[in-house]
Amino acid sequence: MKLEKLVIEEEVLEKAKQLEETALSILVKKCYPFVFRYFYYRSVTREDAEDLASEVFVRVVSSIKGQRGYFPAWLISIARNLLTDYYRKRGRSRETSLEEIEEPSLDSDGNEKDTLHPDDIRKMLDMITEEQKEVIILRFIEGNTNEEVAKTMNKSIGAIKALQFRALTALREILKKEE
Amino acid sequence: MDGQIERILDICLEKMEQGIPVDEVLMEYPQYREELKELLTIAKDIENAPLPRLRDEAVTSCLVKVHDALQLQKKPVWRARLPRLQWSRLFYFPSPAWAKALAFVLIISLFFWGAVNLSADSLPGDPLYPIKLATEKVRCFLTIEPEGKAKLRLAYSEERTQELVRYLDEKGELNIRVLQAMLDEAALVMDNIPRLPKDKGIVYCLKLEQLCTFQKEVLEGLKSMVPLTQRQELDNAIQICQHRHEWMGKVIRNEVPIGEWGPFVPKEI
Repeated sequence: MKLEKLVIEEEVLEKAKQLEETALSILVKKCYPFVFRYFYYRSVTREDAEDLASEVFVRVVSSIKGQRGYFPAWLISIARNLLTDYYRKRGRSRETSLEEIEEPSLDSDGNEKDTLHPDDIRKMLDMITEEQKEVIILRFIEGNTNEEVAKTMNKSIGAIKALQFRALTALREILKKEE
Repeated sequence: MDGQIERILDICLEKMEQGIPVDEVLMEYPQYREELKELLTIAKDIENAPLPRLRDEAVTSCLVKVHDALQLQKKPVWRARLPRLQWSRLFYFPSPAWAKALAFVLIISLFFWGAVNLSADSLPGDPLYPIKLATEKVRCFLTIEPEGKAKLRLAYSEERTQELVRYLDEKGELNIRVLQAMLDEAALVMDNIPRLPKDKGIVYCLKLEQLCTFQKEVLEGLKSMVPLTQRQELDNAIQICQHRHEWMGKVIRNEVPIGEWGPFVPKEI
């Protein structure tokens, strides 16, 4: 599914930095899905992904005044820190409850579509490295360009190209093993 | 070679993003076709996969948390970091307002106690000297009994005598104001003696006589150290002390009634 890119207007960001509630609400509404998906695809239960996403914005409120540079990169750095704490507390293993398994997407005739399910993607991503996972999420799920991914991950474009190649190769091997 | 395949994969991904089908994209790179086809298909499948459902309640809950965090952020820092409950826990007070009031009073008292103690040895010209004088006035004001007042005036007069000696030692000159205050404080003892019972009145007359003798001796001892320009004032003060000593002797011997002020009437040196 092609996503609308995460673009934050400069004016909204400036007002949010002055802790204007309306601007912060706009920021939350725009960025929440992006942050939620970041956690969702990183071996986090749905409930925890929602809680962690909320926690990211609570931290945004307390430190947005000093925010500099590319905003999504800053947001992801907060999310990454929270995720590290989460993994440390919970351990890396993840159990998917029945409630959290996504319902399969259906076509207009009510038949199951021949597409990858979000939970399948999550399971596959669970088997690759953290950096590879982040590239797949930012590049193919969020639809960012290499430049944007490079800025967000604080790496060179060349490094991102290499990472995306290695990530896709790793996923191909996983799929082959499953077959 | 690896670097090249990564670059070609990226070019192919960009072309796919423009809507060109995988097979058409790979026609330009037949040597990588086998390897890249699977990778491009996986990338396309991930791109086309449905997104996880996002619950509206989760966004609303996040907005509420952000609102709360914002309110907390707008409060003064000390309030945000020290919740009211902690104050009451600290002092075991049922009401935080009482705990705060008590803390405030304690801090102020501690400040004054420190200032009063530090000012005890101060001399005229020191920043703390006015606090010393103010404390003496307050103590005198708060003392209701004539005996207590007489006791305080005797002590203050003696204190001025000591200040006079220390000031001369440190500065090399006589402090006329302190000398005058020494005599005035002694005179104010007389203000309280008539209000005392007769036996106690006699006791304080004796004490006052001793004080005047002591002051006269101290002042005579200072004569050699005082500059010539201030000698006149010193001599006048010695004379007053001498007259007061003699006068108190008459009072003790009942030659003069207790209420008579005689040389104790305040006058400038």
